[in-house]
Amino acid sequence: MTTQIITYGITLGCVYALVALGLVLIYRATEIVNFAQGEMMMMSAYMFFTLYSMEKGLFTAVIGSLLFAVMLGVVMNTIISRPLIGKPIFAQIMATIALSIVLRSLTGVIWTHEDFFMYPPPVSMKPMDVGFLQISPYQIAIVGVSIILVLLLYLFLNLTRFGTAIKATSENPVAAQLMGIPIKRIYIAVWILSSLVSAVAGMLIIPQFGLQPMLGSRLLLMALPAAVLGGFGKLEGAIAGGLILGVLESLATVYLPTSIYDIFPWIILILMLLIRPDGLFGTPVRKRV
Amino acid sequence: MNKTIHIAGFFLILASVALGVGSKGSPGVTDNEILIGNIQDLSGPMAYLGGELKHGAELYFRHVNESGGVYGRKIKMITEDHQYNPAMSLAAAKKLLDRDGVFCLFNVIGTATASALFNLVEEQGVPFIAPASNASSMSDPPKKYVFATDTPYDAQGRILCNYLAQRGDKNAKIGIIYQDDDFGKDCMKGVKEGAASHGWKIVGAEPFQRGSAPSFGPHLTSLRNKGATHIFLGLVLETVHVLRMAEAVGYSPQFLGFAPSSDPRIAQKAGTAAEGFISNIYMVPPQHPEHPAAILYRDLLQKYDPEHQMGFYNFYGFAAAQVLVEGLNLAGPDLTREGLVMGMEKMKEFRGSPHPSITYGPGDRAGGSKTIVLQVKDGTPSPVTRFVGE
Repeated sequence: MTTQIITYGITLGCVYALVALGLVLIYRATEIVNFAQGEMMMMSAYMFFTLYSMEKGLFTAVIGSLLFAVMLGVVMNTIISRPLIGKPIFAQIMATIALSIVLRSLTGVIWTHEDFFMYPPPVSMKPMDVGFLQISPYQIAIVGVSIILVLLLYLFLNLTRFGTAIKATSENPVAAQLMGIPIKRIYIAVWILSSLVSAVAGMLIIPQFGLQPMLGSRLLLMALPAAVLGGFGKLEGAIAGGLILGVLESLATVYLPTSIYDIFPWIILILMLLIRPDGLFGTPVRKRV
Repeated sequence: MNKTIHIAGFFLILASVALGVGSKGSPGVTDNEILIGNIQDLSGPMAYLGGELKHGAELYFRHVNESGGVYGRKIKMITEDHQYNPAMSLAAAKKLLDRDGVFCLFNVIGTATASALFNLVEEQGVPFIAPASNASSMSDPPKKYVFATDTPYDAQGRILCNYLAQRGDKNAKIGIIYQDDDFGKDCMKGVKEGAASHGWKIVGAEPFQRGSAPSFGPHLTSLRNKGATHIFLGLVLETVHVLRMAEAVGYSPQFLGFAPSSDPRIAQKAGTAAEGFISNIYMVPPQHPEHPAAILYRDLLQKYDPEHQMGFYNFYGFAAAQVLVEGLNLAGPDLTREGLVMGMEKMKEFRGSPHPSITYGPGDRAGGSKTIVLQVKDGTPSPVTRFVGE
């Protein structure tokens, strides 16, 4: 039983990890913590659902949703990132929180607050025996797509000139600009990448969760600690953090007494911050006085 | 000189306002209007239900107003949004009472969000009619200003267990998935008591945190391994997630739910996964062929808003409005807050609403005590019993 619960945890963790990855991508490049990440994911998922239920085929729906995510990324960069870079952190946080509320309400206005949508997944959710594991094609799809996406992202950031430019901008935007890197274009690219990753997360999870305007903030509530757990700013950290929280949450539901299960992820987070304040993959920052 | 006139004028206005309110007896009541305050979840996780309640109540008020009102006064309802958040519920109630000056509070949705107002209404002496929650805490212990209408969740749990025993289910191994709040715990209490009275074992009780991601794989895996044959769901909307997940993984125990999951839309959203799902309700369904309240509801819906889909929660708001209007009628033409409390206490065996029958009295604030058991057949929850008590 435990292995099966861990499998559920891993699939849930993959989704947390992807949303956390979206957060970290933006944070690394722009130092903005995007509280509207969940809503970006949800809106792309709604787009996917709308196209999918128009029976244009799975492929069209995926492409349509990704295109929408690209657009959303560009819009977010224009209205949030550009005016806020270098502004006090408080202003940035307030702006993204406000934006999350606006996007959630907008989703409610477009697709209604009162209803929620579910549809059967394109692949079966019935578990099969694979060795000692019981795993369903749907779970395999979630894990598989997540792995492919992370690999692509890794290759893009490490092997392409553009990826290197993004990394350079994250390290030191001033030096990057002096070296002739067009950092405004880099920022747009980062928002688009982040929006795309979130859109994939959204498409993966709706067959299980259904679509509701609240879905975004529900997932952000776990993606945020996942990102912190991995050391905010590290891509591999976001993935590890998401997986750890997904598995712990699933195990806690079944094995922990009611009174502490729902605060369990936060206990882990606080312990982590006490023992390793820079997260699992963070490098300690020492400031010389 | 000028200043003196201003000050005198100010006091004159203040005095006339004070006198004007005082002579009518209670805030929110004028010769031709009664202002009532309503708080729903219009944009949170229960928005699915909140808008329906508001719409149903307004439907009945419109009917009453167009038939001349209550003693010539038209009912006007102001609705606020609490997003299923107790703190926002309290803020909304204060806004309604202090700024809008409503006469009473009516049909606030949710257990935690309604309970958050108990102290406020007792302190200020504001009647709070028909909180939209079946929690036993609405009427037990009785609170002077709070009048509940529905058969409580714990009683529902016991009634459902009795039904299972009556239809011949033996040696049931009971599993429970419950929302980790007052609502879910009330459901669990009833199931535990019901199971104990038939000598059945509770094999597992898995919590679900309200507002977290609806992932039910672990819950179902655990209960399946413990051999649960019957699973009670103390959930609202997430009932759909559990039913669909169970169908997807090929697990088919007898699922049972409480009143909130008897809404036909739950069965509709869950599709084939909902076949055989048992739930219960504390009022006749809106599609009831003979009940006068159901007939009136369908007629009014057809008359005022034919586009709107008939639904249980729409009817629920309608029913709550019927109880309030009956209370206002019993309170008499000189309407005060204390007068409404006394009027409500005069209500005995009231059968004008779709509830089994509503009786209040001094120290008795519970409404009904019976439910109808429903089972989903061909996608629709259909009655399998008449009103049954414990």
